[in-house]
Amino acid sequence: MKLEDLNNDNIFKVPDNYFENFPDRLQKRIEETEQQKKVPVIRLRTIINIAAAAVILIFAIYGFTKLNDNTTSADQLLSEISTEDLVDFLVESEMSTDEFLESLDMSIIASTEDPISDEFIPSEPLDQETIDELLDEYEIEMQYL
Amino acid sequence: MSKYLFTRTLQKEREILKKIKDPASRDLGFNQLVVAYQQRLYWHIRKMVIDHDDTDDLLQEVFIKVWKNIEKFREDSNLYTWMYKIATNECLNFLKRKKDKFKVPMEDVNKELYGQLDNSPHISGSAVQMKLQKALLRLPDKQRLVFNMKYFEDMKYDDISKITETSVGSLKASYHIAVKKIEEYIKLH
Repeated sequence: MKLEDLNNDNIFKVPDNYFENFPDRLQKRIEETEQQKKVPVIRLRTIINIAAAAVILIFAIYGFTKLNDNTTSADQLLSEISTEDLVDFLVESEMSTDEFLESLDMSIIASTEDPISDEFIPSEPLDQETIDELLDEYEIEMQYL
Repeated sequence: MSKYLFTRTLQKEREILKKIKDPASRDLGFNQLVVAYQQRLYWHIRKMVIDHDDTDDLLQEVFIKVWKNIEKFREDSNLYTWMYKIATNECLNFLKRKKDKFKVPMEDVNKELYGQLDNSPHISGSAVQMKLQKALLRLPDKQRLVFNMKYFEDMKYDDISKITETSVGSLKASYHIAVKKIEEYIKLH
C-alpha cells in the first residue's frame, strides 16, 4: 500500500470547547506567571541583601575573633606553662637557657596584656648575685643548668 | 499556501504585531494571535507528543514564551515560522526530558506513546490510520517531525527548513526515507 492511497484524516480529538476556552485559560496562566515573576524579584533582592550583610558580618566576626585569638593564645600559652614544665622542657631538649631565650618570639610576649617591661630584659650580662637571686625566686636548682 | 493566502497571512501578522507592540492594545493583540494560531500549533504538538494533556501544557508554554519574547521578534522574519520553531523545540525537549526522567531508551518512550494510541479516549481512526500512526512512532523524533509537517500539514520545504534549521536537500531525503519505512511497516502489519 502506498501512502498517497491513504487519506490523511486527523485521528486525534480534543475535548469539547477546548479551543474556545484555551485563550482565557492561557490569559489566566500568563497573569499567574507575571505575579510569580514580580514576587521572586523582590524576594531575590532581599535575599541577596541579607546574604551580603551576613557574609560581611561573618567575615568581620571571624577577623575580630582571629585577631583576639592571637593575643589570647599568646597570653594563655605563657600563663599555662609552669616554671617546672619550662625547666623540664629545657632538660629534655638539652637547650641552654640562652638558646631558649633566643628562640622565644618576643613579639608574642610583647603582645600580652601584661607586657614584660624593659627593666626585666637585661642589657648587660647578669652578675652572679643577680643570677642566684633569680634562681632562688624561680626555685631552679643548679642541677638543671 | 497560495500567494494570496500568504499575503493575507503576512498582513494579518503585521496588524497583530502592531497591536502587541502598543501597550494600550497589547492584550487584545496577543489574544488575536492566540486565536489565529492555537489550532495549527496544537496539532503540530499533538502529533508529536500524542497525549492531549501534554499537548495542552506544551501549547501554553509555547504561547508564554511567545508573550515573553515578542518584543525581541524581528519583523523581517515570519511570525508563524518563529512560533513553529518554538513549538518544535518544546516538543523535542519534552520527549528528551521524558526519556531522561525515566532513564529509558527513546524506543521505550515511543512504546508508551504507542499504548496511548490504543487507549486514549481522544484518539479514534480507521485501522489503516492507526497503523500509520504506529509506524510513525517507530521513526526518530526529528524524522517524524519532518514527516508530520510535510504529510499532514502540507508545509513547504522552505518553511520546514527555516523551522528545523535543516537544508531542503536533507529534508527531502529524510521525508523520502520516512515514507519508505512507513509503507514497509504497513505492508508487514
